[in-house]
Amino acid sequence: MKDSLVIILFFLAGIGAGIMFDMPDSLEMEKTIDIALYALLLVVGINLGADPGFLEIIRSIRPRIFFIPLATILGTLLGVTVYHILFDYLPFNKSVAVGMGFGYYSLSSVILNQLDGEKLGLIALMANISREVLTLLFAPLFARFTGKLAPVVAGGATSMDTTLPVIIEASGKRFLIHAMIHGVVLSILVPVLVTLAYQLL
Amino acid sequence: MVLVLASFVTGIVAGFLLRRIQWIERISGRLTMVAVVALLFFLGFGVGTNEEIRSHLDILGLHGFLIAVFSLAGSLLTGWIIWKIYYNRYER
Repeated sequence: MKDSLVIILFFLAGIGAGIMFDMPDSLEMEKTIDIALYALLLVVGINLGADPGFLEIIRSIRPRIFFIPLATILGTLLGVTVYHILFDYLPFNKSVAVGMGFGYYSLSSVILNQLDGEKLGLIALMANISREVLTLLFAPLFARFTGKLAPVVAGGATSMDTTLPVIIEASGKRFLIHAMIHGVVLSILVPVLVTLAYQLL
Repeated sequence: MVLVLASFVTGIVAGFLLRRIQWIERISGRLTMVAVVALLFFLGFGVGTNEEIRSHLDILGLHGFLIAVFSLAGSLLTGWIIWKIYYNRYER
């Protein structure tokens, strides 16, 4: 939670700085951002791989448990498709790429900022923060009306950390492992699915 | 795109191989935070300098929110389906 606030503050500070100062040599800046993004993905990967629970989680996986992240991916794809048909605001590949952030707003927004531009980066930021906040707020409601897996799938990639407490609260302790594995699998898939959706659809 | 995926996979493998070194996880967590705030500062900076985006913040925000709502609704539907046909039956 504290981390989220720091992240938002830096984003807002960036907007402030951008309004006050002109863009410095944009080619230089682009290169810097590129390098920072690759560095980010590298350290995110290191952090995942070095996690003491990583091996344990991979080992404890029975095939059946993969249906949950699969459901989240297909459900998100379905929802975004309906959104696209109703509003037709963005090209389909961009809408899907935003959805494939699964609440992992820091990573998805910087990847799409780099692949496409500030506009899509900003939409991804908003969409994925919203997904996390809506899950934090309504997890009990989801659990009540759409089953105990609902808070897990709603949380997306965040079901392993930021939304884990409300998921446990809403669905019960026995969904701890489901939520962890679901979150790890989706976190690993976010960079993959965001770029694939953007490039291939 | 290839570089994005390659950096990420390299990281996972490296992290896994180095997992016995105590400080790797802590340091990589810290560095992640540093890179994230730097990149989001840049994203903010891009938004701040871009007049066109600044004047459409409300619409962009709205569509971000809509994508979140529809993604959630779709996920809740598929989550409910596997809950019904799978988990509900076997885990009770």
